[in-house]
Amino acid sequence: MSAGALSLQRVIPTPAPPTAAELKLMRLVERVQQDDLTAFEELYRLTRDEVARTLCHLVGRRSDLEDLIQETYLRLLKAVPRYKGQSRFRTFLYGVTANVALMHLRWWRRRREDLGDVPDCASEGRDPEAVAQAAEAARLVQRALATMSAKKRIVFVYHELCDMGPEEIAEATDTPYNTVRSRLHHARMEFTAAMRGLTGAQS
Amino acid sequence: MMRHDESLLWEYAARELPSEDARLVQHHLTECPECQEKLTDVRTARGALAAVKGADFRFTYAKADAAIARVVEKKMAHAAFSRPWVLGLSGALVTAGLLLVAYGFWSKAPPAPLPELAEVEAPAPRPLPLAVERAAGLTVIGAQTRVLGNGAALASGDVLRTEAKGEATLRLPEGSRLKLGGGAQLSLTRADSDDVALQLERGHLAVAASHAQRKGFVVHTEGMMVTVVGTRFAVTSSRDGVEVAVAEGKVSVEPPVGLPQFVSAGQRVRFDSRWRSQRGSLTAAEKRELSALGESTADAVKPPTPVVPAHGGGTRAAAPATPTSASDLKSLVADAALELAPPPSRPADPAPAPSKPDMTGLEVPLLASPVESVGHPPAPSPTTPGDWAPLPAAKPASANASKLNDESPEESPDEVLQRADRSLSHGTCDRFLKQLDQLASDASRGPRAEKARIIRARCFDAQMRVRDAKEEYRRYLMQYPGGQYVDEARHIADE
Ligand SMILES: [Zn+2]
Repeated sequence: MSAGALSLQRVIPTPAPPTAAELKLMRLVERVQQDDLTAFEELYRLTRDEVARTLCHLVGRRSDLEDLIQETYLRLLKAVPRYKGQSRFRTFLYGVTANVALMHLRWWRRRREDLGDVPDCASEGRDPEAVAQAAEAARLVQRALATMSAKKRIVFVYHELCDMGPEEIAEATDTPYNTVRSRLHHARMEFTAAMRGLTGAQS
Repeated sequence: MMRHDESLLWEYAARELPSEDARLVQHHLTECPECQEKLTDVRTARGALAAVKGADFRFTYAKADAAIARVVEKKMAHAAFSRPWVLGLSGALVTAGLLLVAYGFWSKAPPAPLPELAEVEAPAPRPLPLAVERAAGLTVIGAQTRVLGNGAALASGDVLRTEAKGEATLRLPEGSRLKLGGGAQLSLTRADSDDVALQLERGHLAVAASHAQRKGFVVHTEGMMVTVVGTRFAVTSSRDGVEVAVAEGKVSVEPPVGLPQFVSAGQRVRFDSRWRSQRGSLTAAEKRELSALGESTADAVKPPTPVVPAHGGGTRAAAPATPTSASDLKSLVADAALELAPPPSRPADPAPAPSKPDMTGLEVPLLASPVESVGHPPAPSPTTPGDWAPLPAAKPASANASKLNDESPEESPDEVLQRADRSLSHGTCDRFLKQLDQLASDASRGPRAEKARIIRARCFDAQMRVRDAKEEYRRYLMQYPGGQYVDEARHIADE
């Protein structure tokens, strides 16, 4: 019997109540919904780091990452009228981001693009050694992520790197909860295996 | 049942398992070297993820920033333009507010079309008071609409309006002069010593920009942005379109749709209501107007212009109030404020000034009824009337607009609050900051003062002036500890 079939208790903490930052985003969204596009620029500025970072984990650091950021916000702008506060705004934003990433990953796959040596998503800090370590880790993580299917990758990245619970991921990606759990389960095994291969090949 | 389940190992390592399951896994681990090894792999994998999660992430957004700004700008311009004209008036404000934002943003980026100054004069001149030089039929509108006479002080944020036959010449802190034609409305969005942003809501505005070094000098109208590169130009806004005429230097004109373009000295460009442009040359009247306006701006060393008093109560354009230097202007304004006889700085004036009504016009606002004090238009002068109406269409525009705005120059506090509140979502609220402050500072207004304070705070917030917003919310909290908007105020003030 595999763990995937186990009915796991949902011990992963459910999202905390909206923070001050989240409330601020909600207010901005309301203004955007009233056609105040200056609020959209502010919304962009407040969330772009998170979106950029997430996209980077989802698709890798590509030269066209900025295009994807743009694309995400263009879609967000179109999608905002649909947002009725049914979920946290962050969840909504992650949903839009996932769609952009998904389209992109599929496109790349269709093009059978060779991933080659994938540049990492982290960047310079202060301590050179920690930087080198983080860079190495990031490189490995990117390569391991690149072996996964798009949908599994999204679930895995959202859970392991973006601190989203399965419920929230299910909501963001409009996927049944159990599907999310199952994808996460497989993604973890694939990721561990890929990392084993990568680190084993290295040492 | 728990044998060799790698996925459970991850959940075990992540402490996601209920304690019972965790104990089972733990027990299994003690007797299974294979799973111990796998757990090491899982921990390695999770360690790499943790390192990635904790790493700094830096990213440059130059391209994305520009794209977002473009999209937002375009969308707003489109929104402004797709409305019928009467709404378009306020629609233009939406765009202008945004363009201001976008402009400030662009000026940080290297490829930004920063307004190059035609000439740079050093050292920077002392800031002059922002004031009316000469006015007929000029009012500042808002919570306390009042008529402005010669020498009246102005402030950034003021919204000025001229009567159909009025006109006004203003001096900005950085030395530029503005001439507002009849039936016009102009917001002095920003009139600092190093930064000028004006919003021409309708009518005709002539500008003689000084050579002072500054961050920017922009005029917004109907969603179009005119950036000053050179010095003397005029903008006319009417329901039929917008016209920009340049006598000296160069301006960059950015219509809400289509490409930005330059208009150089001697040229004029006219945009119709669909932003199709047509070029031509400067008319003689425009040349005269702009050269008259520019004279006293650029030529600080020029000897005083002899005053030729016009017949009757008319004020000969520019002459009496034309200062010959910054200090002259200062004393002129100071004198005016004291409502004295003509300033002593003009002893050479051939005009028998003191007895002339036009010279003492500055007293009138104090004596006469608010609306009809300086009501006479200036008498015909060599530069009238054509100068004030290069676009014949300007008149209908103002007549039309009067249905919207002109009927009650005295706005009630409620109206101001309403308009300010509405402007929040249009990015144009900065025009109301001053009025809101007046209302908010007047405790006798009770709930209106409270409302004004909160709208003001929201405005700063909307304009991304974070520090000002916090400050304003703190003021709110101090004034209204049990107020209606305490949650909101605390939320922002503590952020
Ligand atoms: Zn085992």
